[in-house]
Amino acid sequence: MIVVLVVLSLTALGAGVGWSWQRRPARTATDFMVASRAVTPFRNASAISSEYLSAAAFLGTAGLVLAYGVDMLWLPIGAAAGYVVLQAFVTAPLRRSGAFTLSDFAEWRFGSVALRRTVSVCVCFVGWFYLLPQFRGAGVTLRVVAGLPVWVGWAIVVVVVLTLVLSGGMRSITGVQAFQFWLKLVAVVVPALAFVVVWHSDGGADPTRHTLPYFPRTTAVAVDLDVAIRVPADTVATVSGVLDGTRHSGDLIRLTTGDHRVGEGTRFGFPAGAAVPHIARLPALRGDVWALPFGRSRDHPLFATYSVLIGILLGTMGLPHVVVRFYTNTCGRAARRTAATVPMLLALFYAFPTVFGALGRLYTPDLLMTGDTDATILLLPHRLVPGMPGLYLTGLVAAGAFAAFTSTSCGIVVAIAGTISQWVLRGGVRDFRAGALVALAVPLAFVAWIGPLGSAGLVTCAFAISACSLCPLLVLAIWWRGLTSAGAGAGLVLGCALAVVAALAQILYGPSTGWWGALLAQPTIAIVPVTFAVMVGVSLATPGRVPAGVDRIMARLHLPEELTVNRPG
Amino acid sequence: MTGEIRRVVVTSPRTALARVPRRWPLVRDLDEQTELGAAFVRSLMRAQLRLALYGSASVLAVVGGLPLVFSLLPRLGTVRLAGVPLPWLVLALCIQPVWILVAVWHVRMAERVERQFTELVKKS
Repeated sequence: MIVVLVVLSLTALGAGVGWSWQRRPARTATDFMVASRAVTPFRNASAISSEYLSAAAFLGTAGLVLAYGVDMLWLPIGAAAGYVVLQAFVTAPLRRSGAFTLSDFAEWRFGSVALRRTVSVCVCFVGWFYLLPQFRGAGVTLRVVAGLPVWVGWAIVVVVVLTLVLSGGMRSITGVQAFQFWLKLVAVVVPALAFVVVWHSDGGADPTRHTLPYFPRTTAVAVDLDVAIRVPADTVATVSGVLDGTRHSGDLIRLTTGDHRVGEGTRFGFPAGAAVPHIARLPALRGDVWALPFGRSRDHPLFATYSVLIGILLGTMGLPHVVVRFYTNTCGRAARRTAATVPMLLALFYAFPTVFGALGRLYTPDLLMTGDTDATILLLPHRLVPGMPGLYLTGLVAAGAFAAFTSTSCGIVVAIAGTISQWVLRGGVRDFRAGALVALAVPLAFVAWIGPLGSAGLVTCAFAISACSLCPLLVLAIWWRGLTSAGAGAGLVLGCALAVVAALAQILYGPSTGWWGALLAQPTIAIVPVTFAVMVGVSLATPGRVPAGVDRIMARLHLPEELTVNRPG
Repeated sequence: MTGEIRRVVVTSPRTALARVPRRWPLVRDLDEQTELGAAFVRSLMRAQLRLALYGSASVLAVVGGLPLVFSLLPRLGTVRLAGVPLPWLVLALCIQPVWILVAVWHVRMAERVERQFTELVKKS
């Protein structure tokens, strides 16, 4: 109960700060979409970092570290590096273009309505895939913290996001998000410090010792779904429910090494020191292997690492909710400074999920059996700090998690709503609101069907789509005069289609094995060069379709503001 | 001279315009995309692109090289500093500061290029 109160009060506080920052209610469509361009670099950088630190960063990274070890630390590195590349190639020119959204930019750059629509479709796909892990994270959080069904979490995200987006648009959420970044930072720093102190006074056990994960004390584990588990070493446990097709009611069973089938709702009681059975899709790693880079936790680890790194790095460039934020800066220079501030804020945050993942190995190994590794950071307070302080810490972490879901979702919904409302509808405030409903409805219809992929796995799909379609478009459109609408369109359609197919296969059918599986799981490194090649090749084949005013367009993109005459916006 | 002298009222001598030189004529070149203006824009783009490539090349060097180093020298994984395995220390704490340095360097250089370009245009 206390947990729920803390979460609600902090979320309300966040919204309140957002509204108080609004000096006047949002009136025009410009207010809604780009906060009338009056946001300072630091505030904007906080808001961008907040939108960027989604469920995947807040819950997913720690969970992946718990399951797979040091290899997962590449994800935060790629995520922050994405801003360096984004800043180098995109921010200032994009801001100077003066366009609202990526679709506006495409239409202005190429003078093509067809290309505008193609970009809009890509933006929607990226946004929808990005919303899936937010819903999933919210569901897991409420299930683990309060024992509520997952749809309650989804409903809360929908209600909070709609309230914020529909009442104030971008103007209000810039304030909310800037605040929520700092809320998220506190929500990881305070627990991390507390945990490290407790862990140290507890004897400071080493998560990298040469043993399989084991239960530190007598532990009850409830398996919610019908799953296959792999027992890495013989152990005994009390079982209530169905195991390998036989019903037990609290009997002491010997679990032999190997695969077993567990029925829905089965409860286990493990004695202290028992080796932790793993859900079949997670590898059972000894501590020393877990701590090694490329420690055999996945097929083709070097390829997977490169592909996911490139995907996140380039995918950051085309995230519609991040790119749209730079329009809220006053000029290209401010936009560039904003982008340069983001890696600093991200570095502050990303120092901590590693701590949670490593401590999770010691204190929440049961998550390896249930597969709910996203819940690592949510369960740790209760396990490490007993009593009321632990409850308050859980509340703080849960509030940070909800800040992550809502701020990211708000940003994406604003981006998709702006895109849809200007494409299908006329782009007024009412159409923007209709667009927001569509933006939320599509992923909500799919979220019940997604497979076992965790929030970080889901979000890399969104990054892959962005990296394979929008990133090549932006880089070439800004730096190469010769890009034509035909070339850009062909590359977008091909890259987006391939990435979406790979993502759907991954989400609906789960991971497969071998080279094919590795490629399907991390397709970016194969698709991005293809997209670039198609864009360049088709453009060279259609030289007549280079826009007539391309020199003027390039001048607008690259000249500092004070040197241009009659600049609108 | 004989005859009637017509008085003419001079309302606007436009002497101010004659005395003050045209302000930053290059700005107009840039705006109207004359040959000269386009050449200036190209030179600015080249300078900025060079900076962008330097910045992202340093990012790619780290991102491309470090996994390879850990993959080719697996013994690095067993080295420990203050009880923490070296790869954990490097990945969790040492790479993000590199990104910050590259980002700050790029902002400073890009703004310097813009400033020099603006001064050049305004002087001419």
